[in-house]
Amino acid sequence: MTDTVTTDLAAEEAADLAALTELTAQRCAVYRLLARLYRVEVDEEFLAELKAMRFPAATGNTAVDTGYRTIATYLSGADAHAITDLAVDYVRAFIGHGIDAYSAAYPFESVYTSPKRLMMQEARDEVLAVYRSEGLDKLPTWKESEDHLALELEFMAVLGDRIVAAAEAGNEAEVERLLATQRNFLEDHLASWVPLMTADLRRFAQCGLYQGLASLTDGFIQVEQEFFDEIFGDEGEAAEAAEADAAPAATDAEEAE
Amino acid sequence: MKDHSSFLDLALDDSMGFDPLGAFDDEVEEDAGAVTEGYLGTPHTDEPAPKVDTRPAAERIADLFQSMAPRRKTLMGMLTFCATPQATDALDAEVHRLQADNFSVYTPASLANLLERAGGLARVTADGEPYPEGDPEPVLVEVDGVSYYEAAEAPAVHWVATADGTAYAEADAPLARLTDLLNEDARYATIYERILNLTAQEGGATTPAINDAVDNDELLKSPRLYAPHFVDKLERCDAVEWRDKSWRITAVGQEGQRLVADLVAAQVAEAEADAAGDAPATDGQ
Repeated sequence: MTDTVTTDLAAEEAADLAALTELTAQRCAVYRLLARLYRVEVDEEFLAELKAMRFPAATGNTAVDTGYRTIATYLSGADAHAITDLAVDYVRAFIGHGIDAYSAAYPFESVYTSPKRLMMQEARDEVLAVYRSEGLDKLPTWKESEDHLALELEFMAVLGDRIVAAAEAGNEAEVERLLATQRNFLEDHLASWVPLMTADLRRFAQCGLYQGLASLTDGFIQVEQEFFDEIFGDEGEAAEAAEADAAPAATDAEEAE
Repeated sequence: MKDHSSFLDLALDDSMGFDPLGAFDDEVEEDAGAVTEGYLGTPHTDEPAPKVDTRPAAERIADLFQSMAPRRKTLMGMLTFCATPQATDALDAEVHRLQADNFSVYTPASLANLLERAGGLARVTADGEPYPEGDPEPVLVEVDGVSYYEAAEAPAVHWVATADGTAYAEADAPLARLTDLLNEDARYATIYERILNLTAQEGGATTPAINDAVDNDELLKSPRLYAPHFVDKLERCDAVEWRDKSWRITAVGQEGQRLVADLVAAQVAEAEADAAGDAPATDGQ
């Protein structure tokens, strides 16, 4: 009887890990797609790849669905001259032509988390520290600062790859550690500034691709937050319950004194 | 082996023994609220809207040609080429041909968009019908019970010159411009004649060859002028063109050769008449 229960539990855990592996691989793919779109302009090869893609139509998140639909609609009308249009729009959206720090949706965390909207501020130092704590550093060919959105998204994808590898190796502790790192990075960094940037992206971008990208990014971050709330939900509730239990006890102790 | 598709280097040496997170204390988090408060919340109230030029197309086209004078020949070639609907690839190839000896940072797409915005070119279907407004709806497909969007196939874009664009191209009269130029610059007729004759040679004329033949002429000493000044003016009249690394005469330039020859001959005759009139009388000496 005990053996049967143990076997069932082991099988259930294995199934959970397999499901997590598949889901994480999908999440990595989205992170990499977003990172590529933010990193540089779309080139011919990438445009052809995008046009051949299938985009989920009903994910359950309105912003994600809107983003995918807007991108697919733009791609339906993208002709041979779309590369130039997209390059122009990339510059308009992410680089801008003004000097007031409000002329584009600057894809740098420092800009959105420093008082004077400057680059290379504390946020950059923080993300660099996080990358290094995971044994990562930017390549010399990457000329932007480390808090560029493309690099932050890529970092999440790299962690995802490691989660998949750890899950396949049956290393649950490592899977948990990496998931916790992803959740912390999402909350401390991506979720704290990206919605502000995407609001600006909607203002400046004119092509449907970047309009859709803004919605997709917002929606994906929401989905990620829900995902982590779900998998860490028990722990979070337990911690809250522990705090709630501790509070009356402390009050009693104070009263007793 | 490094993964070059990534910009994060996975090969950092773990033996550094550095705890980067330890370098940060809690101050950053404590200050985060104060840092962002009242600053990131500043709303952007102005909604940037694309400016719409409401001037008539003819005026916008003329303005485009004036502001992009160095690309005049290419733009004019595009209008002429698109007298009938042309596929995007064909138009791109034509622009590359027109700019083969005159490199530009403007892509065919940029130039086509500029002409379209000015009202000189329009997008049409292969049949010449107006191109549908907006992007087509994506295709909804179902795979294993899951719905996906796929990019739809839009009709191929073709380009055709508008009535205003065609009118502007037809009104272009390079020979008239050259005639005006020669009349205005009649003083330098011999310079123009020399340049046109050099460019009419087999293989054209290089820039140094033209400079050598022109720059030391007494006519150009005061005010001091140089050969490129005249070559530019001739090029603007389509009388010469830069091709295969030399300046070459065009059909318009050949007409100009005849005009300038007549002009020079008239000037010589006039000078001889003046000289004859000024000559001292010899009777009674």
